Amino acid sequence: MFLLLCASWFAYYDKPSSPRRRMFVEACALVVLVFCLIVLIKFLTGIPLDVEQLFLRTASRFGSVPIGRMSPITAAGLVLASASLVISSSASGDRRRQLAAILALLAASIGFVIILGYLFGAPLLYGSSIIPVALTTAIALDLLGMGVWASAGPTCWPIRIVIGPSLNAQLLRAFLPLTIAIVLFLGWFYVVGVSWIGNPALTTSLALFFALITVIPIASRTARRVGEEIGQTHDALRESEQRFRRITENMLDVIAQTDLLGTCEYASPSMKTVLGYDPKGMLGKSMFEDVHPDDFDNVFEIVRKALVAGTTEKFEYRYRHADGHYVWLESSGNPIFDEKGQMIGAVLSSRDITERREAEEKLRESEHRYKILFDSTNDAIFIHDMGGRFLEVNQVACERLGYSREELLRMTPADINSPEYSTTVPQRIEELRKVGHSISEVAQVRRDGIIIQTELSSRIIDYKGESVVLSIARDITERKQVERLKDQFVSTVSHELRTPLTAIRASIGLLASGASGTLPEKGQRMLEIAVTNTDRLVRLINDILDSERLASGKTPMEKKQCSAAQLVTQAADVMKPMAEKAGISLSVQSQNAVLWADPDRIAQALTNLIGNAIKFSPKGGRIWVTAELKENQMLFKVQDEGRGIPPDKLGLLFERFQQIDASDAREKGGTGLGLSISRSIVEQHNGRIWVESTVGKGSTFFFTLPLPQETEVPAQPEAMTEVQGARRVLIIEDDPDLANILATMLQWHDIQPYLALTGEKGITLSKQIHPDMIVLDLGLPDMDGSAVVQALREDNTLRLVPLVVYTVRELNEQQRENLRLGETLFFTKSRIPPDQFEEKVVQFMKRILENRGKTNVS
Amino acid sequence: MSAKRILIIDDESDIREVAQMSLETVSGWQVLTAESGDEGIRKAKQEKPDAILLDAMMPSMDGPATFQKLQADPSTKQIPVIMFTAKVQAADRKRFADLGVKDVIAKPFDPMILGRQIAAILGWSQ
Repeated sequence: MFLLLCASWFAYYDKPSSPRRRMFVEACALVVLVFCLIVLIKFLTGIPLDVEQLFLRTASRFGSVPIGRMSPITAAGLVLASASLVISSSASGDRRRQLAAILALLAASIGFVIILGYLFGAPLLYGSSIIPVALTTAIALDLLGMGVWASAGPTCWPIRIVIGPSLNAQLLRAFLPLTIAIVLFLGWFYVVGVSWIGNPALTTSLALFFALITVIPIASRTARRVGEEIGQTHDALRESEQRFRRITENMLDVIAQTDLLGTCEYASPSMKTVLGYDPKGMLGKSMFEDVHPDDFDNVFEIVRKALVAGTTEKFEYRYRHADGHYVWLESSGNPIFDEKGQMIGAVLSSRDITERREAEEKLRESEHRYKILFDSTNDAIFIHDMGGRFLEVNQVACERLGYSREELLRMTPADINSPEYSTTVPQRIEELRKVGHSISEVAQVRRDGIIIQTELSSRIIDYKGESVVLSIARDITERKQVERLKDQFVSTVSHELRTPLTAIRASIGLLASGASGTLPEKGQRMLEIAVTNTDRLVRLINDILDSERLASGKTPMEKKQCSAAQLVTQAADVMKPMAEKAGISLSVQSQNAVLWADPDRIAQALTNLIGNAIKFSPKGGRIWVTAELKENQMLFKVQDEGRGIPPDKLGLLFERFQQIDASDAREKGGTGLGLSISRSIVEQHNGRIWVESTVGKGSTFFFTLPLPQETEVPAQPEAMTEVQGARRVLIIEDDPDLANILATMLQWHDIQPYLALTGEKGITLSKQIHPDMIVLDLGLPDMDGSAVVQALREDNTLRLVPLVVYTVRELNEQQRENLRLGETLFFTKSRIPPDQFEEKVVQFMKRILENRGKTNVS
Repeated sequence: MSAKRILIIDDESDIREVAQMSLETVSGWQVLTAESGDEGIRKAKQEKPDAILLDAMMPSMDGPATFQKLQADPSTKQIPVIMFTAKVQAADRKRFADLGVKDVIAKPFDPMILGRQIAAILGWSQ
């Protein structure tokens, strides 16, 4: 039975989870269980179920060893042990395993009691009254029981007591073996001692003495060790607690623990700094109590949901500070559970976010203000990126144009400008990028097609970290209409004024000249005054008209090439009589340059400035009129030694009717429009006009005119290029990239390139421009290179034009002969690097021109 | 040089009068006047003046229209016409020149030199 049970236990211990092992374990244990139960039942009931006799008889057949009958105590022990094994192996629940462990422990205890019986010589204990259990059987039963018990696992109740860090377990571990050892020793010593010493009393005393000597040091050592262990555990615990405390004390966040109802069970020291409450005073208080009434429902709802879901969530709310004001908190909670997994409360971590909330509030307010401003102006506001995509538009923009905000945000400025302005959008953005801001007039188109005249004020701004364009569009349709009416009015009035003036001027002119007879001296003088003032009135009307038209840009400048020096001289000549009359010397010095300007208007500006200088110069003063070249500009200067202009008048000087002194108009005979007209003229030439002046020393008026760019001046007539001997090369090449490279290359050598991408185009162009040289690619799409050459040969004027042929093919002599025109050069594309090709072509060109020069001379 | 005969066409009687006085007294020419384009054309046909001084802005038929009518009629086609106008912008000058008038004299005019101006334009020696 023992062997069977041991095998079963061993198999179980070795691999408890394998199904085959489990079957074996359970089978063995069941056999033992059944057998021993029968033995027990027989003993208890007296029913003769002599199964053991079967074994005994079988056993006696093989040997002569006397075998006794199984004691019911042994049987009981084996029943317990085998039952324990069956349960451990078949069941997995904690309770079942616990039962198995208890059963095994009982079996071991039976063995132990029997051993004690033998040791102390107490036959009752080893069952001598029934059928005595052999000592060996008892030891075996004890060991087997303990083995089965141990294999039940550490989590089962009886074992759990012994293992683990608890004080009980530690003491038990230290003293249990000692106690067992002493008990066993005492029993053994008594039995052995009596037989040696003979005197039972002495033996008992000695045994106790030895036991005490052994126990005291061992016990004290064990006690010390356990004490130390406990101390260490305490230290570790204290240290961890201190660390925790340090962290919580220094933390800005408030940590609080609550029960399920929100009652505070712990609050970290930061409770004091953040919310002003004593952490201890918080204990037992509801955490909901000081939540802001407006936030209460929200917080309550969040907490309720968190309790149901067992999840945590961050939430923001106001909490009353001990001094009454409210603090914004951001909290997150973690539920806490007891050993049974029941939620018993939560740990709350709360942070003071008042500053952040206030900053957010301010931001919201400022955004709101901006929004109000953005939407309540009468102007349309657009923000678009450099690519022209709208990023933001205001209410007015939407209303004025008849689109929704969403629609506009999908559009670009080109979509809302009238066609003539749409095309200039990229150009305007580019200009804006350079200058930073601009004001221009554009016509915007409403959804229904109606044109709105707007004044667009644009500026580069930083928007969300990006440079974008902010444009404010003001509806000036009405203003434009008013301007038109005004123009009409001015024009009509001027004409209406001029007609009677004409009659007056002519009549008094005739009178004054004595056409109707001589007048008395006084009458003559009065007529002269009338003539002077009539002339002034005429000038004034002329200037008003002029100034109006110039200011509104209605007078187109009739630009042509003119000489700067000539203009200066011309203006000075016109003003010379006036200067001489005033006793003022006029000196002129001018560098020359070709200008692209309206000469009459520039002369007008110059005479205006010179006229002013004369008017405000003292008798005997000097005036210098100069023109000099400065960085792509012509700088005109009119300098006088007059009374100068006070600084506060400088700013308004170029405005209409702004004279330094109201009396000037009458004294000096000016109209107050001269400088304004001059400014308009200069600005319409993209120039700039300004003045520098020192009171008492004189003034200098400056204006600049940009020198013409190549593109501004129309191309020179062909005859000019002929005279200058510009070299023209026709490139016949189908690859536009290559053709352009060649063209650029030739331009560097002052050769005027012409391009033809097909053979046919090449032939027609040759006939038109009569090139000095032709560069021909043989691989043309429309016709073979030799066909091009053939066609050129047929034209007498082109028969001898020098030719550069380049090709990917290798050409034989016959092919080359077919391709010759005038002097002909052959290149194979792959054979010659581009720079050498360039050099050779240019050299070839130069040689041809030199030769031609010689021919011309001879 | 024989006295020239000039036809002044202008709707403003004062202008007509001073211009007439100027040309008669200063230059010693013979002056005819008309107060509208229609009358001017009729007088030009009848009188065949040596030159016509034509106001540009007139009610009903303005200067350019009158000029075109004069040009269309072979009997008046040869008479040189000088436009007489308060519009002296470059654009206006160009417009008149394109029509084929000899030149433009700006209003207000200087009565002492009006005759000389006309003579200079038409190449008359005085």
